[in-house]
Amino acid sequence: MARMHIPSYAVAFVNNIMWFLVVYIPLVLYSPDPLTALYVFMPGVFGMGIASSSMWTSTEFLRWYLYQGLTDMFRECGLGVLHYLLSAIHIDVLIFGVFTYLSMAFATAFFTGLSPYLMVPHNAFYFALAIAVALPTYLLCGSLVGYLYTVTPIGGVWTNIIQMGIMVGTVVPPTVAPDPRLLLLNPATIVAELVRASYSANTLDINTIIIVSIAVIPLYTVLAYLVSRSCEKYIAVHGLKYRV
Amino acid sequence: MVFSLGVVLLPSTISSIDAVINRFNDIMGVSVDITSLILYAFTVSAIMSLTLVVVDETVNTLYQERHLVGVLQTVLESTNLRTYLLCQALVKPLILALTSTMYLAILLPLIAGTEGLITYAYVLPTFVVSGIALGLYALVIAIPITFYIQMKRPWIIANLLVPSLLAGSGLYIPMRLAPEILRLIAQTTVLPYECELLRIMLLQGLGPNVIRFLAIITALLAFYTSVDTWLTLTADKHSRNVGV
Repeated sequence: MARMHIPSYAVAFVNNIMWFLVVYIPLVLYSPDPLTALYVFMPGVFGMGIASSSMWTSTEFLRWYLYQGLTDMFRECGLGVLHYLLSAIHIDVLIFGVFTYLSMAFATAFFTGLSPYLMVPHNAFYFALAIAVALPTYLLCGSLVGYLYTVTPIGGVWTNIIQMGIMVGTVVPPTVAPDPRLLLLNPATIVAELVRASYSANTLDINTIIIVSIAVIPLYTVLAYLVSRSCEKYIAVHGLKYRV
Repeated sequence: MVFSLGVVLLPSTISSIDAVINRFNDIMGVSVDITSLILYAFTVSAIMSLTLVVVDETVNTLYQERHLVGVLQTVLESTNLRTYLLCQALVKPLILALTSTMYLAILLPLIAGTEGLITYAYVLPTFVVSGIALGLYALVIAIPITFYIQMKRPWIIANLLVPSLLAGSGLYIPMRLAPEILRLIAQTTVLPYECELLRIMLLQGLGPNVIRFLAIITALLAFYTSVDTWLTLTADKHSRNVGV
């Protein structure tokens, strides 16, 4: 499966870097303090990227594969959306997510006249914790979109709508909210804040983030399991219709 | 729209809006207020939607018409491929340019009242001309992919081309600040000149420089038309010999 997706990963990697250059070069240049701008805004890309790729993975399973009959084949073997997410998690988070984020950060720093080395996380513990939280976040976001896609008639639009929502707290820092802690409800915010913390640019209190991180790892995993099980039950009863 | 707001307003979340405006004015060498800045950002963002729809429609649709839908046989029976392809490259971008930038007709007057409406009136013709030139440019790429090169995943071309062109065109920044390698790729299209043209018209007012960029865009339009006339003729002959 992974081998089949190699060209897609390669294209998505270059494509992501190009799109983020379109936005991040002016974003950094128009900031009075470009380095702070990089440290505050760039980590949001990691959080948002993890959530987005999980949503597209579950969309792939429930939408594109349905058309080719692959979803049915998986389901006949007792494998559902959570299994599919689990089969891709190590590549999407550990390889694609981390590698794309670091490449984007290095490229943006380079093209805005800053040293790319500045974008190497300063605190490895916080960055590792961000990756650890990214794993259950990936499962939860993917399962949620899978469930919404299954039980509602509007299909793929969910992915686009939720992607826009996830921007707030990740690419858009939590400080825009009257109480920034409210944005911890966005699972990707915690991931983004931990990456910000690895540059000492976190906008929320680091102790709060660590406590929340420890709590959400089991919580998101259990939630992802329950949501994906509901999704499976719904498909078993009502079936799944292909939608564009 | 989200991109525009992000580029203009996100830096102000870590400083102040005045600091961002000052920075923008310094980089652009102008003196504008917040309304003009937002008006400019929204207008320029239309280039993004225009490029996305025109390049994607031209490159991917032609490939699908030949390899998936198989309508080109009907085209050959009723007319010739040259007329069909040239009409596609000229008429479709015209419609797409009007529809993809239509939201500006509502948005610009909402932001700046009558001034916004006047702005829309004089930027629309430039979008239309650039859209057609972009359609002709995309046809130069679409013909080899569709008729001469065997590609398993032709969507890769449009997927990578659009963000590369936008990143190299200096969409929200002066072209000199765009990454050099991407700038070279973008300079084969009308996009950087359209961006410069809008920058002059919206930030400095109508002046002699406008004519210079209009002339470059028109010259490129004429060049692409010549190349496409030859390419479509060759594609027509090729299709009649080997079949579609």
